[in-house]
Amino acid sequence: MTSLLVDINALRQKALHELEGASSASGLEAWRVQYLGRKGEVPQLLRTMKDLPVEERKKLGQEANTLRNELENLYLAKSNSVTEDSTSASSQVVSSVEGGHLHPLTLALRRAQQIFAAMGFTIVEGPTIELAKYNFDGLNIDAEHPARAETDTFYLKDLPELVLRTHVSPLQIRGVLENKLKPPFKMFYYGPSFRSEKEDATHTSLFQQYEFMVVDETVNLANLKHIITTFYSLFFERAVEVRFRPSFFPFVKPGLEVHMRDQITHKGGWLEMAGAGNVHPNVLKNINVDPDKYQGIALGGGLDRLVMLKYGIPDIRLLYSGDLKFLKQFS
Amino acid sequence: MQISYNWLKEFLPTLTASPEEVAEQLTLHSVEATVANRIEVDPTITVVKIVKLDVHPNADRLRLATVTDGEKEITVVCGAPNIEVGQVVPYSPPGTTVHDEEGGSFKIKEAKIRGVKSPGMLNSLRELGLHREHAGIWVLPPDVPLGSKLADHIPPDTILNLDVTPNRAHDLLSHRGVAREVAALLQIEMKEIAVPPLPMATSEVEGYTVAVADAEDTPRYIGALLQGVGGRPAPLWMQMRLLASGTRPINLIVDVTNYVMYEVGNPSHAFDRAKLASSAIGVRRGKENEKITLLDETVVEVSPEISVITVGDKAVAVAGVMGGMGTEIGDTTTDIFLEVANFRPYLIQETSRRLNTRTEASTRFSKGITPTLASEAAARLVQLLIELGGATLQGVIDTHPEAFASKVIEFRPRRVVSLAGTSIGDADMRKVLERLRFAVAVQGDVWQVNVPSDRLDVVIEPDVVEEVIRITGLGAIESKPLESLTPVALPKLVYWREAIRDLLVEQGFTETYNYSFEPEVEAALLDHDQEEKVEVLNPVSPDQKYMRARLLPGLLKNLLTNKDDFHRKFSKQERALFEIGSVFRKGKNGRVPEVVEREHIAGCIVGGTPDVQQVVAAIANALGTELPTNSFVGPLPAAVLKGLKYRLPVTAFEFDIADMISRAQDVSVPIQKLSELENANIPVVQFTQYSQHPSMYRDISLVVHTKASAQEVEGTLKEAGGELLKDVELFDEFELSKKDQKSLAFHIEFQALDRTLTDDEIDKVQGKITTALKKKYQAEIR
Repeated sequence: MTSLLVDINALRQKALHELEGASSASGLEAWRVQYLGRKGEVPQLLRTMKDLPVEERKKLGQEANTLRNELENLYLAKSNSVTEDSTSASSQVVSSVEGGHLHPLTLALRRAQQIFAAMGFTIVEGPTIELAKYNFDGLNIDAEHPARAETDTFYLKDLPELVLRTHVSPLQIRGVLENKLKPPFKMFYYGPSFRSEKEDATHTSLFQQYEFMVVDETVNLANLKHIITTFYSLFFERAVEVRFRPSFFPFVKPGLEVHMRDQITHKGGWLEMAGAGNVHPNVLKNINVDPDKYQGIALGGGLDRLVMLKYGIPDIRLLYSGDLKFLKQFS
Repeated sequence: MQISYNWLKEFLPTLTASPEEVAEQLTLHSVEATVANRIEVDPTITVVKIVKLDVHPNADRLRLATVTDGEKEITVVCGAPNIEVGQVVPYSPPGTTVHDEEGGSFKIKEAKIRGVKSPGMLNSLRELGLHREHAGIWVLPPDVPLGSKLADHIPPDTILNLDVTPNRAHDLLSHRGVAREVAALLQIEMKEIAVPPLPMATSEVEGYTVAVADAEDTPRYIGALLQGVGGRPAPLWMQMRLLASGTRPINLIVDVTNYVMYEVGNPSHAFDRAKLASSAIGVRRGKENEKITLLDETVVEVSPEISVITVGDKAVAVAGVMGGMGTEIGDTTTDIFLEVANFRPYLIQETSRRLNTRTEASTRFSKGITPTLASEAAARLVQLLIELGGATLQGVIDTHPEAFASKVIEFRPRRVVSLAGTSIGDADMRKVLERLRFAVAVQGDVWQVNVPSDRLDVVIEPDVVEEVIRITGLGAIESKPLESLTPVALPKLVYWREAIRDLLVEQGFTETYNYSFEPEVEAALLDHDQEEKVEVLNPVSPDQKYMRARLLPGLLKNLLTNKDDFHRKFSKQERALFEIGSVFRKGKNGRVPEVVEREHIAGCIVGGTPDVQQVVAAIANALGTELPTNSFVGPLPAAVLKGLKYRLPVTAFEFDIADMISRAQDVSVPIQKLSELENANIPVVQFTQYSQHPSMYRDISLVVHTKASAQEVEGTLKEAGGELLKDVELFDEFELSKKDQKSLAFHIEFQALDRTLTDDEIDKVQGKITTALKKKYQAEIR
């Protein structure tokens, strides 16, 4: 019993003495492994105590743990002052900072911002916690629409007027009203949106969207086709083929879905890319635009989807994983 | 929704397009459709009758069924609980292909089951590939000829799957609706069903009355009384159509109600009059604490938000969703009260959500159906029950027998060209609308377009424009540029944000994107002043119920995720992360009431390089302004590092970047033209899969001749290490006092894509490495 106490003290002396001698980062690391690592001397000592009677185990365990804490704190303190530079005699290793990397979502958004600015679109940004009346009512989504159920939309406690925006389309209302835009205008907007749904390889509760809207006296679906074809061509850096098929969203009429010819996965066929259409007259009225004099087009799609297609990323959750092995790959 | 191609052909006698072509046309012009599967009954399956049942000598649950095909008899082993003498059932001889529970199929062989030979088997619906039902043998209608092949009565069919958008759920959730649409698309003949009209409705039949409490909740309620409905199974052709729609047959009356729902789109419900305690039928809102036991045996607590069907004011069914136990159709039912109604969509939608019950009926009612359809459906139900069940109609009650007003929309043809940017002639437009059953009265530039009653989605002029455009071809639209595309500059906020990103990347930071919900554990570690956090009412999980008030907790989580990487001894290693994103707290003067949302920037540096003070100074310098007050810049406390079990020190920063940018120095943001963006030739790196398993690290020191090139030694090392060697770095090289000798030291990283490597495996590879080095360089391993 007493011999264990002696062992603890002896270990302490040895460790402190050797710590003093550790002058380089690698030396310090070696010391840590020797005393505090998984197979280190302190954990080993602690393990020998498990067969002792309870009373002794408590007392000696306490001593050993105190030792461990002491050594850990000393190690941390020392590591603050020891740099990565090796101090051995003729070392040629230089501590260099490895270049950093931008997230592929940033790379994609930058490119999109550049393209739409070059096409003359006003860039607008808005809050991710948004008024329900901009997120739904202003966009012709009435109070009885199923998308407003708590199964789909995130609500806030005690703040019934607000939602976590389910798309960036509320900026059709906010962007126009706050900036007092009057036709003719072209707006490009984007950002995070939220849906309360089960996550899988193509769905996350947080995702990034991009959208544009044009309102003037004559803008139509032929113009929509030109804008989106130009955007996708410059984004994917090759000629793209786009087609429309009928679809439905409460804020456009006619409503359609935009497909792009698949030259990426080589399965042939068409890739679903975005929803679009002519702006619904109710939405025009909500932004103080006379639907008898003016008309609009709008298109919205997923930025995550664009990124996954462009960079061959198979699972959307990777984008939000925070994993360095993923983040460092793209720039 | 499942649609049977064969059933469509009943409505479209001249249909020659294949199921694939029909699906393609629907996808291009109406709703997305795909070919789901084919139904084909194995040609060897024979119709037989059970003539004798004996117990199996060696198994309690099994029986020996002797069956006849009209000529000979055989005996098979059968475990189904529902077989009885006299039933007509399907029999599969050995060699028949049957389906298993995983959707696969296998050929059956003559087998011995518990010691008794069984030359084949009797089949359930699942084994025939017709339905997932496997609780018993499929009992066929008694009039199917014995000895015939089942395939003779069940021609092969193809099932299409339609993804019907909400705007077309009023008219396309039925075979007749889809057939009408296909007729319009392919310009072929549509054969409508001929149904004799119902007699005039009266307010009372056989003592039965209907009282609807609120006509807005229940726009129409039809009650038809029939007597003498025979308790026989539905004919095989009807059973097959139900199966093709995804429902299994039950008994004639229930089958007819389901059949008409899939045929024309109006759900209905039959009550056994023998089980009704009163003849006063009603529809009203539920009362608090009223309970109903539904047909699926769940007990439902009713509330005023739910509509119920009452008998003598006792709630017996949830309107529009599901019938209740106690009044349901059974084998002995002969007299029925048939409900064919129309309910307010939102009411049924909410009821379905509250009770967490979705049925084919509730789906259709909650999307909205025209009340005009109720009488068509009622007439069809009555016709089928008379024809197939030998029933007699006693009378009909209808709370809204008067016609519903039809819609007329003023439509200007020029709006089509104007909105679509593609020109279509007036004559063609008119033909398209008439194909879609719209009646058109031309009055110069403005047409009066009469909308068919089932098209609840067509309400205003743009809806009519959509009808024209989707039929004549969205594919016909040609790209046309806008007249003026004068480029503009990026806003200052965007310009500076990107400049700061580039600055950080130059300093070695890697960018991360985290969720906007605060990670509970990491936030607790930082123990910041408790700003009023914004709480989510319905969070994705209980440990993510607050919106993040800071970015740092998310970065701490990233530190944990990347702990191994950040601690690598290799000098070429990223050791800093940053994020730009929104944070939230309760407060006034934000862009929305009660919530203040701000854009923050935050970063973490592991190991001390670069120096965090220098980094933020560089940002301040670039923007030409100071950091905001309340910025955090400095080391993470030791307690936090301990909590993360971090061995290296971490410094961090976080502050309001939008505030800082608003004070930034003036800058002239360049304007880029579209042509400058072409041929950018930015390299696009494709994603590479990486291992989720930890790396293992070893160092190796060796002594070689001074002439040996460190680079070559590294090359030999890499080659010997092979697949499992992920990275190598020379970290020390110096001459020894011994003549012509020098020491080289390498960090080595091992990793496998598919597993965590064991010490043994690494020792083996290490052994290969040392052998190669010794051989080539006469190295002395230290």
